[in-house]
Amino acid sequence: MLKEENLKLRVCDIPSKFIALEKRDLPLLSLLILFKIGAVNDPSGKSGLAHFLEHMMFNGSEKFPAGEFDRILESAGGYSNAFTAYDYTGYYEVFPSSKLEKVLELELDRLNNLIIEEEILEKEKKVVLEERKLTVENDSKGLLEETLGYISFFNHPYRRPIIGTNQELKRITVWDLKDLYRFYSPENAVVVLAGDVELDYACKKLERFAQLWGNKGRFSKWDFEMEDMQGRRTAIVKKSMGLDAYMAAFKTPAPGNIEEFISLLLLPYIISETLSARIRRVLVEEKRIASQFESWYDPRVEISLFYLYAEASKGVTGERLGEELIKELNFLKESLEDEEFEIARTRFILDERLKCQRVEELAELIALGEIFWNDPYFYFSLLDRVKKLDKLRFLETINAVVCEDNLSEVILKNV
Amino acid sequence: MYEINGAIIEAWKKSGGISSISFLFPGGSAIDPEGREGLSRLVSEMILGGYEGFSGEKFLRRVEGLGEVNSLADFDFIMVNLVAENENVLELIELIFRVFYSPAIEPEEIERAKKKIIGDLNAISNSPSEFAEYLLPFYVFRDHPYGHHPLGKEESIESISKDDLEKYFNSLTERGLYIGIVSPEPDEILLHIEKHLENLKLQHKKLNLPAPYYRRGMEIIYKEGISQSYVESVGYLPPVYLLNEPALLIFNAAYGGSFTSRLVQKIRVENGLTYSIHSMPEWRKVVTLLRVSTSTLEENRVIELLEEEWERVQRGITESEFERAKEYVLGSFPIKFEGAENVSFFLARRLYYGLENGTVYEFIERLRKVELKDIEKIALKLSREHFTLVLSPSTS
Repeated sequence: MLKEENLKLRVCDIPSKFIALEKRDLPLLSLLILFKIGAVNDPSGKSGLAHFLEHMMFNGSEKFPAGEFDRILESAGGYSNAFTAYDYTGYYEVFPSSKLEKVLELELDRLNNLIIEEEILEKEKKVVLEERKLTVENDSKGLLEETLGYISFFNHPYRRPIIGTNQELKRITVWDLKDLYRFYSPENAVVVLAGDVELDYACKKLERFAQLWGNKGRFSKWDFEMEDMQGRRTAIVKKSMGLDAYMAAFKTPAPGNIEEFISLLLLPYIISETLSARIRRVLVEEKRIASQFESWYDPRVEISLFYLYAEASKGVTGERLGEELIKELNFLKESLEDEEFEIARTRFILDERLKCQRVEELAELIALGEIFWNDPYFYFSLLDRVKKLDKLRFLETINAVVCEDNLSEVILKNV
Repeated sequence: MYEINGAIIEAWKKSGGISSISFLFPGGSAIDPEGREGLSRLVSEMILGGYEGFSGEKFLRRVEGLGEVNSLADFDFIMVNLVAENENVLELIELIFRVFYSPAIEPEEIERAKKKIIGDLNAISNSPSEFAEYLLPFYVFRDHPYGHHPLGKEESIESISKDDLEKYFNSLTERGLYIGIVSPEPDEILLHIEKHLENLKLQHKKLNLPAPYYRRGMEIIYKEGISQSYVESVGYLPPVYLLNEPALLIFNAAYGGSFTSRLVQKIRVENGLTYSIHSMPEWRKVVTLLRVSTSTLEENRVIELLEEEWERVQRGITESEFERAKEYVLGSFPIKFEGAENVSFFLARRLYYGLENGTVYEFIERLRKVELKDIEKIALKLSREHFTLVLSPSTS
């Protein structure tokens, strides 16, 4: 696929994972720094810490006070953003390729000399609490996703919300943040530079970047005991939210088996993410019991989840919606047609190829290949593997993991 | 730019093995008849329902086995987008033109499409930010043809008949057609669609819309089940073809369209009042809206600051704000050209709104020529009126 898309990739000669990708059609570059530290590493009683640090990374460093990072980056025609997941936290910039030096300078300063002070912390707490209101408390999907975490995992940190709870967020201190920040070192990161840059030059720049980035030590990953929680479990949330809704998650193994991984990536294209996807059509257009239906695979380092989410039509209860949805899913496993499988394959391949047109997404694919498979080339071999997957193997996998024993579900009852 | 059998076309060559074509039919929700609001949206949904003799799920499966098709209705147009690997794209074009010739307007398909739209309406009522956005046209434009959301209302969707749909489809090509093509082989696609365009018999009736009344003030709508307020605020500018469009982009980047813009700095960074706030220009045939959206726990304070900023921006922006915003727009502009599917949409929409296309480098050159005085002209054209809609937690 690298050849088809006219891309070249190289892992630089640095002990840590620094990777360059050459794509020369537009004068753009993306720099992604992904730390193998995420919400799963938040200390007990301090949920939301990794996400909070992500916010603090935009609040000023020694050389570039608050606002300067974005001011300089935007003046150079670039933009930046960040994301926190359970297993990792990522920071990226997309910018004109002529501004590489400046972007590396900006990143280095916040990676080495971030300012973490009480006043900034308190102001940012307000912003994070607003974000929590917007994405969890006033959002059916966010609310159910949070609840699903609590019932899917008994004592594993995957049960806690990435954004943190209101009370625990308020308890985060400057010292908590400093303690976590010291692990923002090259040893704990995957760095990808992707876009309009020649590979030798890119590696040279990245090597220099690694030298100037003060090494603060390897993060010792805690060992979590994964409890054995088999059997269907159900929760009900009663809240005034407008309509009932239903969310389910199937616990699936961590990425390790490629066929299983690909099958779970393909499944949304069969059930919800295309116009002809069967379950979406049945629930939304034929039975008219859902106003929307979506599904997605959330791969995680220790145990992954496959999600289903549906919002009920007026007058339909969340319980009924859930029952019908699971019934349709089971029926599909018995009756999947060759044509449905082929459509999913075509659409998946098309979407992956479209991702390869964007430097931001390319950088992320490379970094995630490294996180989940220790292989930055992983996603570029994915399409060949998808082309080879046959329907029977797909169904065997889905039957094994998307089953009642692995199911947790939450019903939102609008009151 | 080409004009072929009455259609206005922009075609770009882009490597990468993916082709994308966007068909824009003028009209949109502004021409929905009274009581039939949502008709153009239903038409856009019916386009995915297939053609006479090959419709419904059979059609969709064939189409999706080749690539991606989507269809949408906006205030001024219906847009159909095709994206496929290059070896599949001609067959996909063939299928979609058959729909343009003889759509399947069958009762079963009409019901399916209505259910889909009513599902979308329900989903919106469940999402406060989308609900605020849905309500906005009703409050901003009132009796003007823009005074309803393209999705219409449940009762108006239900009341649309087969006859209404047939009439709309018969007039689909009356107001012309604009096409954006992005492909490694654009000439091959042009040749292929040429014969179809001949058969479509395009006309060029003008879309006559009255100039809107610029509504000012504020409305507060109370909603149960939310614990923060959602704010939508709009300022008014003349239609985009009367503006210096590159200057408008820079003006917006300085006002609320970038992280270092005035609104983000004042409301989020300095005061921590919101998680996100942004502004964006929304083009319509007879007006341009400068729309600001945010959500907050501190509604009064945000509205107060927003009022101050509406007032202040009328006086233009500073030299340093200008330089920063210009560099931002200049540098980030190539991002628009990354994905083939975005580019075809972008090209077709620009043709329709009377804006110049050209190469990536010509776009950049036009941006480079913008001066501070051009921004001042935009600020002067921004109406003194602005309107704010607040979706507020119910006190009951």
